[in-house]
Amino acid sequence: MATELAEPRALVVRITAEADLILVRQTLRSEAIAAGLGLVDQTKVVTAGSELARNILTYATGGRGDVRIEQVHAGERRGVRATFHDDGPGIEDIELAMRDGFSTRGSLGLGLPGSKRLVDEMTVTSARGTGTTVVIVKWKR
Amino acid sequence: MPTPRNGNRTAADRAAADRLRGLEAMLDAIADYAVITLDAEGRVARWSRGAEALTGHAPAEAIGQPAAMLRTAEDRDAGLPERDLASARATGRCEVEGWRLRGDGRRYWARGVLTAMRDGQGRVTGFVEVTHDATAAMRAETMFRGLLESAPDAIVIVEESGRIALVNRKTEELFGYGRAQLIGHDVEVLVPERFRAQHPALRNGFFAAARARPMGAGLELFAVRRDGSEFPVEISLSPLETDSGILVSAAIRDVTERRDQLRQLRRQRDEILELSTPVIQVWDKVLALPIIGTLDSNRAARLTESLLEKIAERQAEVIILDISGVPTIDTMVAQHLLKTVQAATLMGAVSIMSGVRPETAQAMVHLGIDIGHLRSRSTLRDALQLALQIVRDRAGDGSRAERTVTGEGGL
Amino acid sequence: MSQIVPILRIGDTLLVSLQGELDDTAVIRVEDQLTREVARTGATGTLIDVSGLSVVDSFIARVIARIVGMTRLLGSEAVVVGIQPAVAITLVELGVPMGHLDTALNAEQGLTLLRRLRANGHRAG
Ligand SMILES: Nc1ncnc2c1ncn2[C@@H]1O[C@H](COP(=O)(O)OP(=O)(O)OP(=O)(O)O)[C@@H](O)[C@H]1O
Ligand SMILES: [Mg+2]
Repeated sequence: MATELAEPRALVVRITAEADLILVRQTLRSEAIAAGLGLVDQTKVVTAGSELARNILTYATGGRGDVRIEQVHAGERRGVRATFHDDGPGIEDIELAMRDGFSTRGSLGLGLPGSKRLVDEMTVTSARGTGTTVVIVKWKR
Repeated sequence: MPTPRNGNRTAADRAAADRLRGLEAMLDAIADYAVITLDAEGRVARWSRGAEALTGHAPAEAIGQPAAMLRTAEDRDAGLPERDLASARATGRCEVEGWRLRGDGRRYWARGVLTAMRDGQGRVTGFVEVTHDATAAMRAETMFRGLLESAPDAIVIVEESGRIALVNRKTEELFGYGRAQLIGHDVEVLVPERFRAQHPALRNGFFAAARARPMGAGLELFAVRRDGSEFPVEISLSPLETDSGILVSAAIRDVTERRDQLRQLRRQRDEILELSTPVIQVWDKVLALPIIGTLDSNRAARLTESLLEKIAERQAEVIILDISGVPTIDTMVAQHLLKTVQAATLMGAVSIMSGVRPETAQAMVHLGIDIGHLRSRSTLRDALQLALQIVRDRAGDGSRAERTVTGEGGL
Repeated sequence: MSQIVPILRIGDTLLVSLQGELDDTAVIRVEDQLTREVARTGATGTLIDVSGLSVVDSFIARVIARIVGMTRLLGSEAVVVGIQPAVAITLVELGVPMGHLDTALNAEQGLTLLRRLRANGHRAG
């Protein structure tokens, strides 16, 4: 039995162009509000989502991927979960990619570690050639 | 002189008599069951060994007596013995169950069947009653039902097919259904619509590896009443092995009240947290946050949020974080305070720490925490003075004064 | 289609107000335009009002930081005004380095700060 029952409603936003970032942020915001998150937590999860969507645009093959956004329940807790997925080249060394300052593009390397600090749970699944899946969860406090 | 035919008949009679004796011997050999043969009027015609053992009456005492001899006075007064006979006569067979009297006056709970015997024309020639002592089983069942009925939880016993086999009174109360409306129906009628589709699979999963456990570990579970209203529940499941297969007993508890209490408690806790971190406006554009007590990450996060919101709301230019009331500043707290200061700086407010003890100062510097714009004073009074000076300087054209202030700042 | 962000000029100060959901193109365009405007007008100060932004991710934050850096290189000063509380704590948590920015709570305080920065000729720290 799953530890969390997803609400039947899950929203999927396709990420193919820069303009989709706005839709990702808006969808995450409205689901975070619906899950009862306060303004600060909404802002944190939306910002993390923006970073992860941006990574898809930057690193995934053809800058394509999608994000599935849904509310989650676990016992008394409510929250919002977003699952970012792309079929791009994958991340060779996840541990390294999660470090502050690591970037293969000479950028600040903040996206992954910063997102992790902004949410309650974050898992990155990836390997060379198999694409990348990042799941973030933010709970209502 | 017997004809061969007669001779044959005699042989047949003898064979029949042998068979009968064989049967009687067999009946007598059944020690656990009382096998009592009655004539058409319901008088005892045969009394097996088992009957003797069970009732304590010898055949001589019983034969010729009405079968009702074993029944209690209440049963006899109610006419139950006659009713049983009439029922067996009418339908050929009737199940019997009830208290019986032993020769020594003690009672036992008899359970069995009463069968009518007929001749070739279909006339009832007598009855056979086969019963056994079911006192222990009856006691166990009574206890089980008593427990079931007096249970504080709604108990629903479900068959592997998902059909409800048994429910208790509390179930009727809680769900608003009568027993008859539930027994034989799928247990899913008690599951809210939106979870109904996935329930059978979960149920089968439980039957496949049945062991006592709470249902939906960690999940918030809901049940639905007859009127369609939902309520939060806690359910514990346990398998019951019976001769008709595995049943599952689900104990369902309405936790509406507990959940409300929990909410209430949380609210109160939040309020207390809020109260224990008051943001005080000490002067126009100056806020003070006297932090008292231990800071955990939850409280620290709240504190930061309420302070930043107050900065925006009051357009405060200076904030004083007084930490003299915090017993220990560990790495987590130090880092958090610093993040608060950084966030306040981003918003455009100047932060002053007060009550920083030497060991705290040391710890913060050792952590490699960038002290940056942070100013600090040892007492709240000094911090207030600095705050007022900053505000005054900012309000006037005193750019030079501001620089002096800044110059003497720092931890 | 990306949004148009107007740049206002009040005396020798420029004011740009970032609002709502901005796409990256719009933010980059503001950077270009502002750089050109500072150079063209010789404005001594710029106020970047971000009070209308409910999300500032690392990209937008970096562009803002770049704008500030460029105006300074052009001999002008820039103050970022009105960072929302939730945005401020998020930026700190995210770890975008913004410590070198000059910030103010509102436009009025921002103007006062600009005046002070210009009077001092360099930043107070
Ligand atoms: N979806 C992805 N597919 C493939 N590689 C990725 C993906 N996301 C991140 N990476 C790799 O992980 C590294 C770290 O990502 P992170 O977002 O932390 O930093 P960055 O994108 O390089 O810099 P910043 O986000 O600060 O601009 C990236 O440089 C890239 O090599
Ligand atoms: Mg990135």
